[in-house]
Amino acid sequence: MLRAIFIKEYCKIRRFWLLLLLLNLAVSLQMVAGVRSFFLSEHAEIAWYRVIQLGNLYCEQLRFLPLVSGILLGVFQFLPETRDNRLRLGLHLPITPQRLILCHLAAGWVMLSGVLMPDILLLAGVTWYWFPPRWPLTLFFTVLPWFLAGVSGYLGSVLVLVEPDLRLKGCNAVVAAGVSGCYLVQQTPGAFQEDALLLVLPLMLMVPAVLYPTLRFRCRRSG
Amino acid sequence: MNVTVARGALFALVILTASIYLPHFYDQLFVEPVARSHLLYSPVAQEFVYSEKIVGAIPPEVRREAKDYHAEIGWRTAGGRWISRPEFERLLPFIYYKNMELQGLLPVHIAGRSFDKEEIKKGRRVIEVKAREMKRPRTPIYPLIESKPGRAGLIFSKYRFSATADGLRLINADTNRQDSMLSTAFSARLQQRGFRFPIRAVFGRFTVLKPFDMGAFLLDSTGRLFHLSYSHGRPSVAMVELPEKVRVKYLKISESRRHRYCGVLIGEEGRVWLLACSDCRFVPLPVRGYDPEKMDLKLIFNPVSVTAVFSDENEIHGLAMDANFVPVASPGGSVFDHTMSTAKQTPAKVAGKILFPFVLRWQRAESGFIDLHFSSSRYAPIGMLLSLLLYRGWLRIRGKQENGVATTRASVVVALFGVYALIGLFCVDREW
Repeated sequence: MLRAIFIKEYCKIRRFWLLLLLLNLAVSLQMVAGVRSFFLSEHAEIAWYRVIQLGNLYCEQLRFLPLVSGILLGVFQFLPETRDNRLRLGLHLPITPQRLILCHLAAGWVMLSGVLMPDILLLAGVTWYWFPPRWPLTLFFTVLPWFLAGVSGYLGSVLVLVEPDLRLKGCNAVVAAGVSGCYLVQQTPGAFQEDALLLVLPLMLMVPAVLYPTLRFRCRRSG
Repeated sequence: MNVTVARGALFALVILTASIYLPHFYDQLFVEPVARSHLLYSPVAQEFVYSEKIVGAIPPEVRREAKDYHAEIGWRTAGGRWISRPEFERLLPFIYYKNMELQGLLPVHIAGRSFDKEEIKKGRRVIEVKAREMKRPRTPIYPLIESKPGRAGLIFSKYRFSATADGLRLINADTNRQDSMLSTAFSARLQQRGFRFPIRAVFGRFTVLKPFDMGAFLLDSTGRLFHLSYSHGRPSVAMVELPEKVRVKYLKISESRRHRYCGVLIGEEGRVWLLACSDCRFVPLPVRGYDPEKMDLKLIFNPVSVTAVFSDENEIHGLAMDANFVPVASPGGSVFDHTMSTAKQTPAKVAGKILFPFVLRWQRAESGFIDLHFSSSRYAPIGMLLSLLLYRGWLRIRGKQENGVATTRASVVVALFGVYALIGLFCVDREW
């Protein structure tokens, strides 16, 4: 059953997924080209000074990319399900609704990870190749919230789309925007390194929270 | 996982986001932003003077004096006399000398000496140490600056240094690899001088936009301080004698050619010393009551006196010293403590404290790290009670069962989380 859901989800969004992957790849390649050009125009010691001491990040274009990818993936995956009431059929399969929705979310996370993989790999490659040791750790704590914003964007879009009531849909949108905003707050590089575990807390609440509108969707409790 | 858990998670998420954003939006909309006061010592009046935004009713004497500026900014002496802005500037000729030059008021005569523009410029200096800069994220890899470049401007060498458990690691920026020979040479030189690894802290001003390079100061594992400089490819290391029994909290380096002092040492207990450029000697300052964890410190030098000003969010303190760092014996006193207008309770501030039972903030003013923290006030129970009454009233108006299990449970949650719980119920319950 679970395998079937995974295959169904893959077949449903593979074209959109490929488009998103290409978008992420293009932005990441642009980032790599920018860093290469930066190191060709400046000596490494000046480039390091600008990045490490002054905090001028070379990957700013990736700040909102995971969030946009997460939202779009959630929309591509769940809009057809809710618009055509397909999810309601699925929710009456011989599987608990919790398990069914978690399976949908797991499929979404796998695809989101795939979409964000070029960003992660190219950023890691650029950082290890051009920058000194110790900097990758600072960068990790700088970009980690951006990628978690991608997960919150995905879960947020599910929270909004699955909710049948229009008013609660709006409330969920505000809450999801608030959670994502927490991850994208402008900070000095590495500012999250002392309280990084806290970043996971809103996501840990978002996963079970998504189940609530799903259960209401199943019972047709729309406004 | 059942409906109750799912609903509870969504409810908690609403409370979490509401307690982060709503107080912030409320402050932006209703609370008047007030900057910290500017406190300075006037060598002319021989007393402290300050300027600050007036919160609340503007006194008539301030309105009368506000001829060329907005009346909500007040200028005042430590004695409590409101003064006009031009008078404030005339009392501080070493700060506002450019305006005074335009007004033809230079040179000024103070303590039997005459000061023209050049003389004033030579003696002026401000060194500031903010609580936030001591607690900010840093990548522990530092530029090695060529201290004697043999040219007018400083240049970065191609090396960066970082600490390891048992030495110093030098990284060549051209190859992005460790230079083993130089790493060994630096580590050996430090050990020869008695340095005990690992390095506990590194202090310095790692930029080339400064008149000369003092080098870096390294704190060893036993708390001793060493001075490391680099010139012509070779390291130079010297132990710096610290004042007795001091545990170094922070050392701010700020090189200047026009001045004898190049840095400020902050001890763990809040004591303050100046670092002499020429021989790395520490000169104590008689500053008392400075808390480096929470306060910003400003040292303002002029040709005749030095003023230490330190403040947190609400209180500002000043200490006036002569050029030898002895508190001045002036009629106005050498010390001034003042509660700033930032601390003033306004109706909007109190209403906010009643409305929001608690506030979650991502960051503390004195830290550069993300540090989610919770704060509440003594007014919070009023808001919680009002929210509960509002909820019970709503139940009655809508004709709902007031003593059912669900409503009793909701009442407890409203009593605990106040307005956030009301918003949570609105966002989660379809029936609201």
